[in-house]
Amino acid sequence: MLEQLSFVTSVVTVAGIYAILALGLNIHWGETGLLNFGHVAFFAVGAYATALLTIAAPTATQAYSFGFGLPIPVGILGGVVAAGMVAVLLGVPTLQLSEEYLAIVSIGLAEILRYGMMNENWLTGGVAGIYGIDRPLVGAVPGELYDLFYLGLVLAAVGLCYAYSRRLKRSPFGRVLRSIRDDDEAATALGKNSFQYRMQAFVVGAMMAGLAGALWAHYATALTPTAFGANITFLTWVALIVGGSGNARGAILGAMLIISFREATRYLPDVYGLGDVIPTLRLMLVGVLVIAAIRYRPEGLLPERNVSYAEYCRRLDSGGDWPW
Amino acid sequence: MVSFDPQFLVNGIIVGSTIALAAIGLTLIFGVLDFINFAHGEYLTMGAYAAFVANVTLGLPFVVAAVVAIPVTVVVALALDRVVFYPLRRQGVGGLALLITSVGLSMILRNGIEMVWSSENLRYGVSGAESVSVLGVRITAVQVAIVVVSLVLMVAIHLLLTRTVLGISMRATASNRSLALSSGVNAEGIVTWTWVIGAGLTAIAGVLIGLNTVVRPSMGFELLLVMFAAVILGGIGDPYGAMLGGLAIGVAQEVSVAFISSAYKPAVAFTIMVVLLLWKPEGLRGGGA
Repeated sequence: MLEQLSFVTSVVTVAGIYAILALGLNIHWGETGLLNFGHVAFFAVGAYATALLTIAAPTATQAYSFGFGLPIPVGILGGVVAAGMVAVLLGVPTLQLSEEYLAIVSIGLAEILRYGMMNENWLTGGVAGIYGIDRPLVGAVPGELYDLFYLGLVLAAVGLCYAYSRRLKRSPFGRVLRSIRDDDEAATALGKNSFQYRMQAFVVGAMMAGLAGALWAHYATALTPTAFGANITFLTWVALIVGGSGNARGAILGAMLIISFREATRYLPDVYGLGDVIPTLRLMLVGVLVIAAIRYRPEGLLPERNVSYAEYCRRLDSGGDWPW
Repeated sequence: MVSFDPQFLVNGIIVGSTIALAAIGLTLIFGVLDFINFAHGEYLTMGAYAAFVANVTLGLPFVVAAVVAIPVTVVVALALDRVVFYPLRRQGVGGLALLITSVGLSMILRNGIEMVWSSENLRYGVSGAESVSVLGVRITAVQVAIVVVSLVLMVAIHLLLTRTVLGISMRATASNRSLALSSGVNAEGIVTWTWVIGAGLTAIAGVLIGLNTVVRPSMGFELLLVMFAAVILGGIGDPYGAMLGGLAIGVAQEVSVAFISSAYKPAVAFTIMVVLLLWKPEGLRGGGA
């Protein structure tokens, strides 16, 4: 019984981290129409930044040469900020051009970062990676409850990002983003600086991915470059498209479904000698899901819901709550 | 500063000419179908594996195997277009839906290939690896053949695009689709021929790259960034630009080995691409969504 509980806890924790990734991507693609195919880059930057900020200074046997031993909240904040700064650097050359350029450059940046992680031993520990990252409050929380405590932490972060996304639906800022997504030229003609808004949205979404990365680093306690492949980006995309892009609940639902699917297939018995092919088969299925979702249900399981201006005013008058 | 070694330049021309072939395929498909095909790298991988099966598994001579790889890749590309892309085109959804679909397709193909042939490095059964020294530059007979085949194909593409009705229709469709349609160009016919030529060139590029290095499931995906850089350098949708862009990126990558770690070859292509986007985006023919 306890074993099953701890399995469920770990799956939900990972799903929560992916939900934050998907919420970030939802702000990029769902709300603003930015084709970000390098989401894993922000995830990795967040993870490595917090790792380097919080671990103790390296000993002679370790390959990396930094380690600041700062408190974990500072590390997480640093991870979030670092991811945002990478987004600015990535946004400057791409966000003024048509959508495809961001797709190309972001997928490129993610790959280059991975080469960097593998080769810059002084910074990232290279292929061997970084080990022994601290977990928050590890002494204060009893060991058998620690996983539940961390799950609570992750869910709180999901809640924070969800609250922001929900707020985006009714804030003027969110409306400008959606107008840019739906008709860039009209938004520009109405005097909105679409580059500036795109950049803000891009940075916010990237910061969420950085937060997810930081939470991952303190959960996994070890980072290696192999854990930051392009598949993370693609899984997040599937989560968002299947769940429903433009709908924060959809993003969370999608992440839960995709991660449950992944974890469920991981423990499939080796039926018919399928054990070896399961990892590739699983990724093929992810690809099939993307194609099927785009063709048959592009709006996702929970479609985006926007209210008209008239309804907006009516609800404002009646003081009623929001349906999403 | 290291004294300049012409060896790097020659290596660059060898690599660049194969990248150029694949980039022409990518840019033609973008021009006519109006979406960026993220599965393009996997078409390259398919070509390399088709030749591998014909050459090593079936024991055909390498040249025959290389030729066989072309129709195999083209038929698969056309079948995939029919099953995956055509329904979306008919629905009239934009290029972004096609782009995301191609990302999914890329995952299916890459992992499918890995499932069948595993992720190990494979080699063709070809001799000719002995290098001769010309003016202090080492080059093998195989590498000479790679450059010659690439250049011949580039000339052939030039003739096709300028001297035939098909080529002119393709360029017309790429530059202004609705005008081309109203002038009597058969859109789906042009789409089919674009896949034939684009996938065919890419298959040959895959075989040549496999010949020059190794054949493995991720070979195309790893080159995707380099191909994109070549296409952007030349201007998206412009086949001549892709030729020059491919050669330039190939040379830049190989020459960079003299100065930085060879692990960062793709980073050179990436840097060129980003600098170009900053410096001269208006010169690039970006398609609308």
